[in-house]
Amino acid sequence: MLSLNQLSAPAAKIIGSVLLTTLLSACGGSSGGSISAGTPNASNENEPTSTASDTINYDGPAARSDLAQRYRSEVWANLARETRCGTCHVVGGEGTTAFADTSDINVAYSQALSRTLLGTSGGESPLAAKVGGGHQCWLTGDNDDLCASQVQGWVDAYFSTEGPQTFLETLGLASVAGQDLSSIRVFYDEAPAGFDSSALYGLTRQYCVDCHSEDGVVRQQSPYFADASPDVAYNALRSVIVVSDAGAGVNAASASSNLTRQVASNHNGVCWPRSPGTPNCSASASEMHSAVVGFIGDELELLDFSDANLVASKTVNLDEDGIVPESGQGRVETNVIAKWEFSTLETGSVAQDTSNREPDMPLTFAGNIERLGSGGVRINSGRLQARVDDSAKLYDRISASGEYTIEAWVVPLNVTQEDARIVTYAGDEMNRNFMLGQNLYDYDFYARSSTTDASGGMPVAMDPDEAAQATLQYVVATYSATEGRKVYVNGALVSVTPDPDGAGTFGSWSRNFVLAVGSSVTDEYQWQGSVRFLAIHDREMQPADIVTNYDIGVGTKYYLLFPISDIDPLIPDESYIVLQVEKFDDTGYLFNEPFFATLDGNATGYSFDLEGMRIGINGQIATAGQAYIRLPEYGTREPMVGVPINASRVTDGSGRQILSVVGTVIALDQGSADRFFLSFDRLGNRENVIVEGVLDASEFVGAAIVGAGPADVGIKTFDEINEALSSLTGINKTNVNVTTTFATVRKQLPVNAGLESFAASQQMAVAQLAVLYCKELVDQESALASSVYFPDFNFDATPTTAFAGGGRDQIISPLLDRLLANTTQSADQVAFADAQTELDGLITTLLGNCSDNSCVPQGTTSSRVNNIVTATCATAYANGMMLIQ
Amino acid sequence: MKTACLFSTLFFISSGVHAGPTEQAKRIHERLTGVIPSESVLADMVTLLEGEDGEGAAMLAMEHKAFYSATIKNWAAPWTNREQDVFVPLNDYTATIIAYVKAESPTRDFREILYGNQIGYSPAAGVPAYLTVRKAPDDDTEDHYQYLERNDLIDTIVLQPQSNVSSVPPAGIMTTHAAAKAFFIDGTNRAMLRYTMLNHMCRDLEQVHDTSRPADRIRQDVSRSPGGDSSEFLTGCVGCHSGMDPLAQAFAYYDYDNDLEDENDVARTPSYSIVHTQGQVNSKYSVNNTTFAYGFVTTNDRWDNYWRAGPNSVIGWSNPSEREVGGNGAESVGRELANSEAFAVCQVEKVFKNVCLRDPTVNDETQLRSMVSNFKSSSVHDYRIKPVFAEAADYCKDPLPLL
Repeated sequence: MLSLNQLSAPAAKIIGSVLLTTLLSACGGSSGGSISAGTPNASNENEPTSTASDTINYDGPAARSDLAQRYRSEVWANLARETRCGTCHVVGGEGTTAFADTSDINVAYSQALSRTLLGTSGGESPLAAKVGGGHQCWLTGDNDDLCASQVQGWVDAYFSTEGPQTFLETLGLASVAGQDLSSIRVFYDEAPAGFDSSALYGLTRQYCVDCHSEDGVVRQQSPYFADASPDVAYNALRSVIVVSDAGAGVNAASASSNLTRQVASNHNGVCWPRSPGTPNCSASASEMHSAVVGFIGDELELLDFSDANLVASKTVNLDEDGIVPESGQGRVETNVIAKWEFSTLETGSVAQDTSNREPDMPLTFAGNIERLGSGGVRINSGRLQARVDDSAKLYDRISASGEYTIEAWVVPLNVTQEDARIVTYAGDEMNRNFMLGQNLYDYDFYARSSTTDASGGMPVAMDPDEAAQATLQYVVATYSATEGRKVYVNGALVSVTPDPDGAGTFGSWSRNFVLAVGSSVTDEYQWQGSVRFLAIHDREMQPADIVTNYDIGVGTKYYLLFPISDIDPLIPDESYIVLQVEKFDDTGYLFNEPFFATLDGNATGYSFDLEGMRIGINGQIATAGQAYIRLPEYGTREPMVGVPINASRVTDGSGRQILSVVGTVIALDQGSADRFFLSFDRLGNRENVIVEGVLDASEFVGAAIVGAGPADVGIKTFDEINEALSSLTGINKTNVNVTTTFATVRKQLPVNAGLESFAASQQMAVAQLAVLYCKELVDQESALASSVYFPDFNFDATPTTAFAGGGRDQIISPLLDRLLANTTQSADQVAFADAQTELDGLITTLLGNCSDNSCVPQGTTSSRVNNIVTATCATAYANGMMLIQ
Repeated sequence: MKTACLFSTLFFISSGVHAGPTEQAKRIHERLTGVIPSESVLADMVTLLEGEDGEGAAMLAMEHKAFYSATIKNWAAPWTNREQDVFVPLNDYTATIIAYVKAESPTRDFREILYGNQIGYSPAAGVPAYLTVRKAPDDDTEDHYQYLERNDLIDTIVLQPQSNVSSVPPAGIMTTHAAAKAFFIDGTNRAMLRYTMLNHMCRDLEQVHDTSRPADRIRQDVSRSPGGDSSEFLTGCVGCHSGMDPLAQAFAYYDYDNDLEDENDVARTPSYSIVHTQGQVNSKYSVNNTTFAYGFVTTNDRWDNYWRAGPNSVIGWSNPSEREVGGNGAESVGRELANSEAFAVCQVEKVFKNVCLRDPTVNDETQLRSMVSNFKSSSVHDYRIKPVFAEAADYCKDPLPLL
């Protein structure tokens, strides 16, 4: 067989150009309308005879960019015939990619780009290689190589046409009309009366209910537009129907959107009538279309924009007006052997392998797994798993290459999950060829080789720590034949090298393992989160390639052009504020890097102001996430370059004038139907400055008020108790014995002044500290020839003598005088006489218990006196009179 | 041990009795100092109270050094660490607060605690020099402040220019060693703003939550889709970060140096001190910069106060008609915070709770308003804080009537 590479390039181009000339002569105009695929190439005797199915009846939207149009005329017009690729490779068809979709050329082009089917200018087209490899050549006989050369010729023609001249052209921007803000119609927030008897709800309940409802008997597949609950169904319908206009102005094709297309393609055998009877997809689609149009006509409300002062752009819709940039291509996929993109165009519970490397390796959902509106799957529980036979592709390819790469865009649900399996190629929990997992803030990569055990070796340390975050991350795990494992997150190496197990070979790998995503193959070690992209390469990805793919990102990025020319005469025709937009996740859009551009090549010398830009959605200015309100002063990394908007202030000589380099997230409202606009505080001579009021700060005092009833009694806290005892006893708190004891009991003393938190253990600490202070006091005073604190007391007498007569009062009075501050009773303290009686009773008790000194273990009569004075002092001071404040 | 069981037998409490000057004086003195007054001080206070000069009596009570070594020290200690632990050793943050309260000649504007070029220290003989506060974690050498605390010298603390002991641009307590060690350490420096607001505006971030502010200054390290759900960001995270991040940018050149390795992973000995790199944004402002690569990149220490508009205008910023106020560095953002109504109310609220030992209720609103007004008025307290303690003590000198 002659391969494409064996054909000389000029020969391939000649073939291509002959075909092209023939085909172009038969093609229609560049916009919508029915076209013919043209007369079969008369020079090719192998071409089957033309049939009716060779005619492409295209009624979809016009190409949104020059390059999309070029794809249409050079490539699509040749491939989209039903006798070639147009039967399978359409939305809802059996093919894994819809590059030949006949309902929307922009979808087809986007698919061709996102799968890099076209390759690069001058290089071999993967599309041609696929056909050349024996995939569905349309020519009779053994002519795979000729089919391939035809495809290569069409692709070369696509690339050979003169390329874009300016940056704007590189982006593929084309005029956008948009709609007036005043004509916006949006769905009601809740299902209106009568919805449950509408034709559309009736059709979905009749024909879609087995899957698209929360209690579907076949499967539960969101969106639940056939749900038993009208409110649930209404909300789901809002997210899948595109509103291009209201009532009689509805554009049939775009209004019907996915629902009609899915019916037309007999998606999951949806067409009716069912048995008995023969399904008629055309009639079914027509009925569904009528129901959708009726739904839009009946279920919309016209928003009131009576505020004529609003300075706003036209409104645009992502699906209708968004432009997929040509420059967003170029992912490095040379060595991809399996790839899952989880496209929004896919439905059902199988994720297709879109690598074009046979055998296909689809992943079947097993568990609670949802598809994301932004592309991807959310794994709540369970996993996606390939078949053993299909998984063997990995074994075969990687065993041969001796190295590999796991490349993934993931969103961990949290950073608390441990030893959770994101991707594993395994037989059970611990026997695996490789495993990429999450362990708290780390990504773990285990790789079985000749240097490891069956589980894949020791974990690779991470540096920096906390590489894994609960947000969208680009995780790449590579295995090199010479260096072993490396892990990259968001383009940066995060694993410590070298691999602790070194590099090895894969002789110990098993061909009977399967690839699973989300848990082990035994349903253990659950990982929760979202996977938006996954690919396996049979080579180690190089750092530069990793950065390239990281920069390209995941998901479809659009340029959304907001027409502003009509706002003010100062603004040139064909002028737009352009933002890069993508569906960030199921609840939000990412808006990024706004810039001004005019497509009017004759516009020169213009200059006008722009201040305070806000993003609006469905007639409302979004509440949260606005990032351009403070234009022109803020929001840029560099000094502002774009305001005032002036023809001489472009940043790259291409007509693009960047306004800000920050991006932000705006909440999703209705889904596909969402229409966006921009409002401005000032644009040219138009002005509508939004000024917020200032609240009365005098009300702030109210925030300090607490409604609960107060406790009016408090206790001293630790340092205060220390200060109080020091003050009462006259012993300096720096006394070494005091500081030692205080350090010991400090944290046992009250911390809060609240009486309600006072505890018995705190009273014990108070007592301990009081005893210490009193002991220091008594030791100090008893050593003096004449005590200062207790001036008349005889510490040298026996206990009986010392506390006889006035002896007791010689102790009690000095203590209480200090405690009560004077001898006059105040209303909120104990009466002097009452306290005196209590302390006197204490001394009596202590004397009575030990009148013969028998309970003084260490012996002298004077120490017994000191002990009784210490106890009296501590009793006087370690109580409520000291503690309460 | 026989004596221990007797301690609880004498627990004198009486309440609900109308207070005379003696009871009032004792209560004022104990609540301000924790110490029972001496007989002579009590007598002088009684005389003042009999002359209906309750604030004068309180000022007399506050001459006791325990007002500083116990009451003010423990008032401020929880502000100096993330755990709000009151048991932390005396430090330069606490000492600065003590010195501002104590300053009499000249008196000091308490707002300066957030922006002034002053720090509390003791000139007493024999005290280790201030610079020894910069200790490694395992160095148990006694520093300046621990020495003051151990030797009961807290009442010798006075103010001196921060610039005498530090080379970083001063901003009150925010540029003290203790604050840096607690709030500039590791992390992203947002902690300095959060804790300064918590401690000196009596507002944690939940209480200033406002999702309607511009999101243009939220840094790259904040996920816009936590766990894959951007509504979490738009209803939660953005509410704090939209206002906090542009304010915390003021600290972009500050850090607490405890790095054991340099940027090339080479071992180094950190200075364990606050550092300021003029014109060079600290690397902590770019950590996790791929979490949301389209987020704001900090290139300088320009701060802006987005909370001047919207619901947080209730904070009562100075010159409220100016909606867009900003500046550069910690000192000016300190002024922005300190000049707010919230700062004044917060100080009064904290004093009230400290002295009255309870939260204010609706019955106290008139008094609170009066205290705030007096605190701010140039003809009354002119932002001196010590008289606010006196006012609170005078107000709470009587027991509340029994319910």
